[in-house]
Amino acid sequence: MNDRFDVKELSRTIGDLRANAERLLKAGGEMEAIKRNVTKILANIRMLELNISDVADITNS
Amino acid sequence: MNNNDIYWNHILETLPYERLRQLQLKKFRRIVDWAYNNSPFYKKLYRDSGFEPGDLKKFEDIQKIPKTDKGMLRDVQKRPPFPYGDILSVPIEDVTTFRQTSGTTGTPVYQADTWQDWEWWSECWSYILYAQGYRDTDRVFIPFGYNIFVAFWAGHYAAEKIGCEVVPGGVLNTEARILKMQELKCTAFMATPTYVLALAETATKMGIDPIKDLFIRRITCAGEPGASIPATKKRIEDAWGCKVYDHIGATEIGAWSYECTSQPGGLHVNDAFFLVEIEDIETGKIVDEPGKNGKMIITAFDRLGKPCIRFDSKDVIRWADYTCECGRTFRMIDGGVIGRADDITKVKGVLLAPTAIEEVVRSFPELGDEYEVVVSKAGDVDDILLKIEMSSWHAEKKDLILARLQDQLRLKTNLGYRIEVRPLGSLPRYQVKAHRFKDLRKKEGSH
Repeated sequence: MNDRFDVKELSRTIGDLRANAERLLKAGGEMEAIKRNVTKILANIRMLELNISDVADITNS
Repeated sequence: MNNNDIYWNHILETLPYERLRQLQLKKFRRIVDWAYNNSPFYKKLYRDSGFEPGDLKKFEDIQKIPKTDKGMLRDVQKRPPFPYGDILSVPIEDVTTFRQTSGTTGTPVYQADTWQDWEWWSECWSYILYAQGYRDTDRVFIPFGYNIFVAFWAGHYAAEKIGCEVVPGGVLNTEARILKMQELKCTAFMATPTYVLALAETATKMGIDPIKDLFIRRITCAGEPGASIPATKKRIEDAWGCKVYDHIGATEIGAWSYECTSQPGGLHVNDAFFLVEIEDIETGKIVDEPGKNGKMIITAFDRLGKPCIRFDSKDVIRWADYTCECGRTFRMIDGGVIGRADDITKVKGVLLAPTAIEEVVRSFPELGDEYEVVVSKAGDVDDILLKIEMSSWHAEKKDLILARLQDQLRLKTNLGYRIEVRPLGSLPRYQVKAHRFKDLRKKEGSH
């Protein structure tokens, strides 16, 4: 059932999301409206990592 | 609906057990590292015991790590930063949510959560609600006084995350809540088992039949073990004409366990987010075999503001000797939380768990929903007074019913009781945690 998804590919995409959010925070984090909204976005990205990325490197061995 | 539609995350929920164990070890190391490097409390605890995070190499090493308990969490609050103490693992400015325990066993424990921690709470609850059939077609009523207690806050946000329409029933009284559920045709709600029964009782008094006049398809319970006690579960399901599901969580821990729609008699542990260990109460050894009661030691892998690592919860649980037909590989505990290690008390030399009394009382349809147990000393001998409610409808059969009740109580608990029969509706009703078991011997002894 797990084969329906490419977990490693999903994990890479989540990594891209995090990199983009962190880039935005770095570029505009002095503006409160950006800082606080990106913090919330990063919390949601973290939930994706807990659901997907954490298991991407767990092998069958 | 395909098979995957029963899971919030089929990848984790059906992960083969071996891989789940690898994931748990990886996540355990991560949270221990985090706590060691960010919380003075944890650093001192580990250093004093001679443990360094690098010592954690294999799964069995986890058992060498010092446990924490509620007493420690209370003590640490006396130190800065106010009000959490140096267990806090993030700058105080990052804390966005305050909650506290009810304080039933002493000084309340204050809980700090960051925005990410709060997302994590609702993520844990999303696993629960999705497994119990909540979908974006549900209109969910929350009859809960939104306050300092975590209770159904996370259930609210998880229901929103799933896409349900959430109706907060905060400051309404019980009658108004029932009318609002009826008016909006709500399909589900969440409450303590005690309050679920009280809602049905009040609705009936108002001339509203919970089954015919309301539209509830599922109920999620928390806060008390009732929804896993078969007699109480049946009583609730009979009153509401729908399925009732249990879940277990705690302020200091998170929402770690849930019943799914298959309901094999136990609850799944969310093994991807928590590590549950069961410790033999007498020997202190970790118990892996099914059917053996012990204290739960629990770790929340992903809660960062105030980490919960190897926390001795005092909840008594046991592993199930069955799996669930739902296909989840998450381990199961049999019958939910059986009791609390500090609630199980010796009366007349016999170990008594209050849940065993509830199981018997609620299996008698002639008796009301409420009961109360008072243990005291009559001279040198322990005395147990059981107060029950009975309708005057059963007056003619009262002696017969009481004799059967005594038999069943003796069979289940090996103890005899003085029974006091009260009219229906005369015992206290509770909206949050019920306090039905009163042990006066401790107070008497303290004078």
